[in-house]
Amino acid sequence: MDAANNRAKLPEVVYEPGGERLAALDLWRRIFRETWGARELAWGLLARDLSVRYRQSALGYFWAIAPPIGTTLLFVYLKDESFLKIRDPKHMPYTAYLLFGLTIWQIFMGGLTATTQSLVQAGNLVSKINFPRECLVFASFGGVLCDVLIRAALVTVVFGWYAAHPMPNREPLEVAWTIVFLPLVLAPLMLLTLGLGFLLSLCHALVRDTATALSVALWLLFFLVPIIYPPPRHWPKVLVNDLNPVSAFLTAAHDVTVVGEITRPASFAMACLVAVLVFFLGWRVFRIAQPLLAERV
Amino acid sequence: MGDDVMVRVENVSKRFAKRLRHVMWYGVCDLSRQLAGLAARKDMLRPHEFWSLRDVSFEVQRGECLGIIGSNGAGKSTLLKLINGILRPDAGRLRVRGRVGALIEVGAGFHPLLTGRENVYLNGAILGMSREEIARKFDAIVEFAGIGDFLDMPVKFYSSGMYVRLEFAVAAHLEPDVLLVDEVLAVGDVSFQARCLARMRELVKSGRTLIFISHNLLAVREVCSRCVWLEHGRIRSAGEVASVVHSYLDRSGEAPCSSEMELARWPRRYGAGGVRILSARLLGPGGTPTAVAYRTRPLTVEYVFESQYQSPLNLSAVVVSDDGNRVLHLDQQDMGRGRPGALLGRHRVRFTIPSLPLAAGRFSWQFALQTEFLQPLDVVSEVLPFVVEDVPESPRPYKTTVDQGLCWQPAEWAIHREP
Repeated sequence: MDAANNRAKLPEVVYEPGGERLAALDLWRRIFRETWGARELAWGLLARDLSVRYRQSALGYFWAIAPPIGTTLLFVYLKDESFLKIRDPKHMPYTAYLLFGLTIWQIFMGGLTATTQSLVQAGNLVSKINFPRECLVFASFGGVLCDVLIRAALVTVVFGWYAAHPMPNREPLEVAWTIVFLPLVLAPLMLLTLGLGFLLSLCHALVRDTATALSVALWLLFFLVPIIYPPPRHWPKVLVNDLNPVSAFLTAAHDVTVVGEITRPASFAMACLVAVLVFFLGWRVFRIAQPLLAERV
Repeated sequence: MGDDVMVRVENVSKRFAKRLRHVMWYGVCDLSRQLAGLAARKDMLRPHEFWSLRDVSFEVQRGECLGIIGSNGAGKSTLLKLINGILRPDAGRLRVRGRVGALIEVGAGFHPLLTGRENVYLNGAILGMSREEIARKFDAIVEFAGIGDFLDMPVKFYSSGMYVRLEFAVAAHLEPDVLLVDEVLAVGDVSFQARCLARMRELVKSGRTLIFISHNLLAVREVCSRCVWLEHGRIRSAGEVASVVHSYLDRSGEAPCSSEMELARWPRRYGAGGVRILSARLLGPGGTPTAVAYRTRPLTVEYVFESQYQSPLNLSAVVVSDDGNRVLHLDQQDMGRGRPGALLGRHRVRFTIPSLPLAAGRFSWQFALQTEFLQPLDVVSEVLPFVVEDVPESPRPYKTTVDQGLCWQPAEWAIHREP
């Protein structure tokens, strides 16, 4: 009797040509269920990447903060010597502004770079073992987030310094109470990164130049996003900021940290919408493409 | 699906593109079609595509072990990937019930800088075990692998043998409802292979379903109850394991057995030369050429050779079974009359086996002409394929076949009651 009951309870899967045929909501429910079921695996992959990252290195976690320190020193030097004509940002000294921007940018840039390569780096796992591939993408993004947290610690220290030791002729750096909303403001940026990561990881698995093209594109985009300079105020250059979702998120994060309100609500709202759409579309395409990918990786 | 069927494959076909360019382009096309919601185009080969599997159907019951055999490129691994859910069929349907585990890629996710312990947890997670399950089986896994003290050392420093044993130990403790095994026995030494087979037998006994791909026909015969023979993507034969394996081994016997053969231009030969075997034939008890011999009956072999070799020759012959085992070795000097002198010119050699001790099956001959120091002068192989049949008057109530043993001998048996 028990055996018969056990048999009846076994889940059954049917594989047919073409994609999964389920009504949209059911499909998403299944996707969430499968991914949640594999959370231990995602966690394990993340733990593996983190523990291995600096295992055979001499300086270890110092390398997480070395790049932003180096970049900041460079651009502060260029600005101070007037090689680059950059306006002083409001509300924050330039050094703090730069570090803050670099950290937020790292979520996007580091996240995209890591997720794009995550499928190809897994190698044989993708073509021989059946497990939700989303885990690879989520785990690689998790690794980037850990990096960002370390940099955030650095930024906090620098903010604390400028709060206690104001620059001459400037007010001391004051953090607004709205900083508690910072994770909420950054969440859509993460969704955008993951959505694009899903799509780009597929491209990279098929066409290996994708990672190279991506690094070039990101390098150019770095200069279009107000990281090393405060955002433009006048029309029409303001559009460059408003139409770019990453700029919108950076500006919103900045606003929420020191200003106390979102100064450009329309562009922020649109950016959130774009992020959510890209995330769900990216994940859906990722799911559909998995069997096709397994043949071709 | 019937109550006890765990895997049902229905008319499944799978196609692949041959060139990388087409692989990528067709991938993009297929993806766009699926996104647009259009039905896949079945039963069609686009340019530069080929069918890796064509119209394959079979069922696997619970508690059964199914073997899948076939030459390389027959589509076996593709079939396994379809059952595992990694690939989708291009036609037909697959139904799989229960949790599926795969012993296909050993050492999946192993990272050289992590310790053995960490890799066990990671590998187990990748194969689908929960952390709690791995913790529960951890000691058994470590014992199976025989790693011992080296568990907390980075895997980078393991010997290749330890590496393989640890990899397999984790995968061997998967307890899925359906286990797929793809030729992992090729790695590891003999004792390790024996342990793996024993583990597979345990799993089958505990009611799990097993699908086993291997080139090791002995292993397939040991563990599996049913077997499928795949050739060029189609099922050539399916059924009870002994008969399918037998017909697979028999496949080279497409050429009929011959009672006489011209060997002057036979390609399967080697030797220093100076002598040449020209023809051979097989004679039955009546002296007539035959390609069928009988166990326990006399068998005569005759061959003709030509020699320009000045020194004494050594003549021998070997009976070879279908799977390549050298079963009987016959030497002219066994007669005890010494070696013949130089045999210049053309000669006809004839020898008779008074009572053929071979079990029923297919065999072939190898004739060798050597110098007195056993250096080969002319050795022809795979000649005169013949079939041995069992005799009707055998006292055994069942047939004596090569599955039981290649040779047969009567022996004295005595049974006494023990107080």
